[in-house]
Amino acid sequence: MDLIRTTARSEETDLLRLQRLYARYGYDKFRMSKFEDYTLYLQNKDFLKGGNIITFNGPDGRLLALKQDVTLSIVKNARDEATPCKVYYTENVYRASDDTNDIREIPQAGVEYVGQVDVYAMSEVLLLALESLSVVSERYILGVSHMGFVRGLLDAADFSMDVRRQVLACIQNKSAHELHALCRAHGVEASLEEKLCALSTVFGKPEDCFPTLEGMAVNDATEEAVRELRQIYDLLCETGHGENVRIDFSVANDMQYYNGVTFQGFVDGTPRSVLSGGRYDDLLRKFGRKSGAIGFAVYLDLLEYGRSGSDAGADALVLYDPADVKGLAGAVQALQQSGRRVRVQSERTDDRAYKTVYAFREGGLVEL
Amino acid sequence: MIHIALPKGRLGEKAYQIFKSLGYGCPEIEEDNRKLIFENPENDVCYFWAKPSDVPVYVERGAADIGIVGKDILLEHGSDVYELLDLGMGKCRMAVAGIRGHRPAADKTLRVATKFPNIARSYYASQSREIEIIRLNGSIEIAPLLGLSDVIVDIVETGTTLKENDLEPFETIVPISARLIANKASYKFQYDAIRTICEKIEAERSAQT
Repeated sequence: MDLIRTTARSEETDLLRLQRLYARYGYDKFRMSKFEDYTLYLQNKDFLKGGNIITFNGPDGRLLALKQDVTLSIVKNARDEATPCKVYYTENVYRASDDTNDIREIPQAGVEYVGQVDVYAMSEVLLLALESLSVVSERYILGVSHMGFVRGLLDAADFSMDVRRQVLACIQNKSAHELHALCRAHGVEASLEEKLCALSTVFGKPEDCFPTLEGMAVNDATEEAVRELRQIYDLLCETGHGENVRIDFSVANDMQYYNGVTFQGFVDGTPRSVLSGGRYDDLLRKFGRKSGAIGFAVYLDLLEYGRSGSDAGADALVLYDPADVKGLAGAVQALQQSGRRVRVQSERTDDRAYKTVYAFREGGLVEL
Repeated sequence: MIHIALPKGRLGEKAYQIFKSLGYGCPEIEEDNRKLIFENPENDVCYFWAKPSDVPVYVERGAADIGIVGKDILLEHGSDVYELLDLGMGKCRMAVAGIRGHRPAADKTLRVATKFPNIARSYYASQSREIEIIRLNGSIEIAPLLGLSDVIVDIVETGTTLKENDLEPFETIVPISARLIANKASYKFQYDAIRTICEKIEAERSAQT
């Protein structure tokens, strides 16, 4: 097992550990096809996180797409049942970059919970998100926001749909200066303008931010959102993961689909969020379901950023004379059984670093 | 240590002077040498010069924690970074301009020459106007004079170049100025250092006004 651990690429070991984590919480593995009906993506384009869809014609002439997103595929099949659907997946998704049109295969792992969503269910998914981050890095932060709070403030300002999108973009970009300009251009009352701008800058430990958020609440929706965040945070603190949580409304997500807590995970050394998720009951409504839903995805490709390149492919190098190979195979096996990765070749032709270099002479290994 | 991407040119030099005045100086950068990266461990900063349009790329991908960039570049490239401050310098505007007194007719496809196709496209889309983008890389003002385009979409600072070439600005699309941007992960893991820089800049700006 140790040999497997050392030889498997980090991405693969991360994947194994994540699967074990999700299974430990009783989530079932969900396996799906690599293809999806193009119309599913077309009808929910705003839900997808950018990137062009890669399409092709199926044998019956239907327009198909290489799977670009996993959540949509799970949700379209979800039923309103008393027993919640708790699944995890490890799948590759395929996207064409907007800038360069490069086609990329992106490994993802994730968790989806569909059913009656209560405070414990939300906390469990956030806990799994935090534990996923702890699997891949020692230094991590989960930024948490609540779309109920964002929507509540925007409702109070009575913005049009277009302006709501612009305001959300300013909050996501932490651009208080742009938000001030936007509020003034649309005649927003000064105290509400201050609150919206404060929302774009608020960042910190939940216990420090909750009083600020409570002071910013303007209606039932905003009050309820802070209450829910407090309840979730209290449960996370019970597990010891609370100290890695930050309140951060720049992780707020699309308003059409997300209605409750939303979050993004960051690990030190990786420039983008490696985990993204939230409560998306409104996506289920689009599919005619009454249930709630919450989930997240971990983008395993991004984790390569923080890692140095792998070391040499072997711990030991064994050099041999092609005219004298009697006993070589047995000697190599014996070395491997001691847990080392062994490379065998007749001459040393590269400058790779090995912990030990041996020469096979007269039926035995001699350390050089 | 905070890594700072500065845009080559006047804007970057001005921005460095602001950082220096706030206690983030780096003597190496002021020397006449051929170094590309300048570090001052004493002030915990590291600077490098980049082509202005590349600054958001360095910041978005984490090679720099923060950077200085014009709003025009942010709008054109749509980078996934935090836009923390409007520095209020390098002020100009993105405008539509054309030959003086010759506003193009609205009954035909408008030919627009520009270095900023995304800004131009989104501006005219908001007006439901059909356009044809002619992408140029420089000397945009020549395009309407030679009949290559009906109008140009470009940065207008004082308007002198337009005036001297018998052109005039027709409409302002958006005001432009320099912005302080930050990488989204750096902001979280180096929160105190980046917030301190922002607060010092804001305090300096409000003291000036």
